[in-house]
Amino acid sequence: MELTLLPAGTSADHPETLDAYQARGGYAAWRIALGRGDPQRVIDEVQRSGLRGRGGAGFPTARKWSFMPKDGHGPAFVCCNADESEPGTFKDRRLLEATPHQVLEGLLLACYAVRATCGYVFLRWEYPRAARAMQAAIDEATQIGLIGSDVLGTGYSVEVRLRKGAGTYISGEETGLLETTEGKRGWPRQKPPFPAARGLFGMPTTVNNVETLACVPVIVSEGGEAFAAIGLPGNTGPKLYCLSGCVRRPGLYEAPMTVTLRELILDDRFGGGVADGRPPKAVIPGGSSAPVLRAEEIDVPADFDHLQAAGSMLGSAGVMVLDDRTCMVRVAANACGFFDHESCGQCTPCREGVHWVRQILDRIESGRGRPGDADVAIDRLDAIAGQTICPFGEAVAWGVGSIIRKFREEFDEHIRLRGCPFPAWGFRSNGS
Amino acid sequence: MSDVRLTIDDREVVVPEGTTILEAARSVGIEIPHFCYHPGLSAPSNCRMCLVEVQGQDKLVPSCATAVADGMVVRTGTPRVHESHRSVMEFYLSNHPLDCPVCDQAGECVLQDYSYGWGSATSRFEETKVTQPVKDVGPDIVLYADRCIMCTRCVRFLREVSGTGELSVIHRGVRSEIHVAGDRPVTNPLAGNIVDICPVGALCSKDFLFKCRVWWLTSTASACPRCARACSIRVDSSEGRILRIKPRENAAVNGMWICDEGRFAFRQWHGAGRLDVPLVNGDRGFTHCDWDEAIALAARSLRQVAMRYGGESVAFIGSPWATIEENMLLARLFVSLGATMGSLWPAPAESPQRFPGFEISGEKAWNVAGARRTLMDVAGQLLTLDRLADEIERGRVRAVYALGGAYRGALVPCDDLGLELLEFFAIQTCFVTDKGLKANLILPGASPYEKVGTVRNERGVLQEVNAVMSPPGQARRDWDILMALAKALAATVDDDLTRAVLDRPAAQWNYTRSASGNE
Repeated sequence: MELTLLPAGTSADHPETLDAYQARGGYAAWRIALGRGDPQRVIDEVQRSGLRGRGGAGFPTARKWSFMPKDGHGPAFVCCNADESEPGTFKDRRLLEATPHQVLEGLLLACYAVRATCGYVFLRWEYPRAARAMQAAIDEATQIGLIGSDVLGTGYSVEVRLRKGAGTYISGEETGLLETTEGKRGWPRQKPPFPAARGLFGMPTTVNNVETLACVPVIVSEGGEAFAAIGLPGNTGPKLYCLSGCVRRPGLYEAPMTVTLRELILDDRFGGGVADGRPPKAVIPGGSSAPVLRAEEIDVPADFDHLQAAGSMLGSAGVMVLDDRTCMVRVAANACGFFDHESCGQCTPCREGVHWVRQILDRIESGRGRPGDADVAIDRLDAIAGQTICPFGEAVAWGVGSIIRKFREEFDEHIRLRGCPFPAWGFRSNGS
Repeated sequence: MSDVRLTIDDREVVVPEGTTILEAARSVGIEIPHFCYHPGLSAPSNCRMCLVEVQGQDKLVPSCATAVADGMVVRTGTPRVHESHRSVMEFYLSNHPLDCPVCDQAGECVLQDYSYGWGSATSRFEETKVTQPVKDVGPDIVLYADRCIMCTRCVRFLREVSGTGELSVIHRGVRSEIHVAGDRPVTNPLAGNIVDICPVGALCSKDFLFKCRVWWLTSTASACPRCARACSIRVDSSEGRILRIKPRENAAVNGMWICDEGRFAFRQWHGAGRLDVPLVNGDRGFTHCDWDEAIALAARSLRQVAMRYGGESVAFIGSPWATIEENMLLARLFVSLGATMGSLWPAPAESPQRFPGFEISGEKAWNVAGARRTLMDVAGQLLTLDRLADEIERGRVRAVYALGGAYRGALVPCDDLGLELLEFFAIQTCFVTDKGLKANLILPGASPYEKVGTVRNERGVLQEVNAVMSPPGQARRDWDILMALAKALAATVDDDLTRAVLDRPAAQWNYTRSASGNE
């Protein structure tokens, strides 16, 4: 099997069929793993690969799996987190729509590795094509006995179920996802207990991102070492980058994590330069939750460790490029508007604080800012971080807070000028 | 379950495994501020007010949802913790209407209390507040959604205790709002508790709304007369009027809740139709008379029957609405007259109502167990009403003296008792009922909220009851009426009687005050 997440010949226009997937080596890993008859060997292989979670936190996958009880008697679950909702992120969608079997095989291998009895695919409601592709894949694999009871005569039984969300960002948070899958309101849970101890329906559960799971069949069939040979230790394997914003060729690209942000933006193999030949002003490397980097900070490998060292994070690898015409106040207000809209409202600092900061930022942008506003905004964002039930609080505080801190002069200028000095046609993302 | 040893604010604390930090702190008198935590409900840790410092942990932890561990070092009063409290309070108050002057909760509001501790006199919030509606969520409850702090205590109560689930959260983020699901308003028999547990003025009782500022209320600890569970209650009154009733926490009796029947039971004893003068049945039917006359008539009639037919021809009927002391005084008095036959009015019977976290007794009087045990104790035996009817029919009982005190409309089953065969029948009660009209003498007694004494509930728990007010008009406490009668019958026995009655429960039944303490 080719060591890639974007195999030649696959396209989001036509989900890959079971036959096409098997023709390129699909489900060989599943047969190998079952044939070996030892779930631990799957974990060991993934351990050797150095695979880290692709959903945002970059937690080592094999370690996450090892938290699951080895001697459990009741049901246990693996949830595939396909609730891709981070602004600027569209990698999982491609995997679900183009190569659903590869995601499914990864889910099956994960289930086997942690001795789960059932895998859930939790898919955001806004991805109807992905839902159709995934359901078709589950049905096809079930028909030929790759899913079901006593798979391939090995005595291992596993089911896979597709669940669709109701259109809320917070259902992509690990425990919000569990609540929603249970049919409840998507309110994250206080941790501990962690999902591996008490997850879906109170049973041991592992939640893995779509891209993470799509890597697993490759790792099992080609060996962990082959996967680890791509990139640097700690940041191994092929990685998908979602390039958007002020860039010539926005889109989804695969690269080893040795690639720098500047290369992703400027190199002809990727973005091909900033749009209209403008100079870049800022880059948000990992979706709206990731702290922004100034143009002079982008000569950094787009991997987990280097971006963290640079004060940001790889996150969902939603790389958003902002050029010199972009109003950073508008970027902050836009991002905060998104978070205000998506805050679940369960816990106080996030519910009240994000809305407060959003109003401050909207005022500054529309020329009604007052001296001291930016300080209040930063103070309130800092008061959200670390105080909330789930990491949403940090996402807002770090993402929006970094824009205010790093581009403070623009905020002060808005307040001084009582208005926005940037042209109205500057950067606009979707959102509210 | 083994014990865990930890340190909270430099104090060594030993609590059972599984205890939360908040509860462990509470057990040694350290109060950690909180809104969403309630000891009778699950802990979602959504208010973030109870965050404390645990040594070795980067983030502050929610003390309501964090179990203690051996060797844990907790600090609840560090600058960082206070800063967290101040910060959360600033968030709360940013969208709160701050309408304390017109809010029913003012004076007993947790948000208001904490504002003194961690609030600020000035606000940095200069944005537009989110406004939300005032809406009915049930026949007795109104929601001022603006004041709601989204602690979800009400939602959890209705899911976990009443099991009825009428309320849920709609919308998201700062627009989150408590709402009635579908067209099912909050009508369950435990509904009123959600008003009690609402830490702010969001859920208000329509019955109490705008009646009184809470600092003018006088609170009286007592027990609920409505059923044989005799829940521990706090009666809030002003100028001799009961304005509201709330549960008192008592693990042995009612836990933390009461039912709405009990909450509003005072209406069944007070108001229209209440007997407030002695009535004597003469040639012209019932006429008012004064107390001296009434007591003299009772004493004379009872003495006559006793002299003519013997003391055993006088019988007494105790009441499950009267206290232990009143029933005991009744029994002692009549036994001293030579009476051997006593009975007890049965309490109205309904089916018990069971909920996931509460049960309402089907026996609709508070002191069934106490009255029965007391009367048995003194008289040695207790006749059923059927047996008493037999005795009356055979002419062995010629006079009956009864305690009553039932709520309005509760008809005591006396139609088959043959009261018309008696030479004398008197009853101390609150309402003139059919039964009363057959009496020779009706004496206006006290409602349960006007009594002092002790009751024993169906589980055998003794509780002190206290008078919230005086009986209306000329009505008197039943104890006083019995004492007056005792004096008229034999002036020398009253001191003995009083001492015997008052000493007895304490000495024999390990009488203790019910645990009190308001949540």
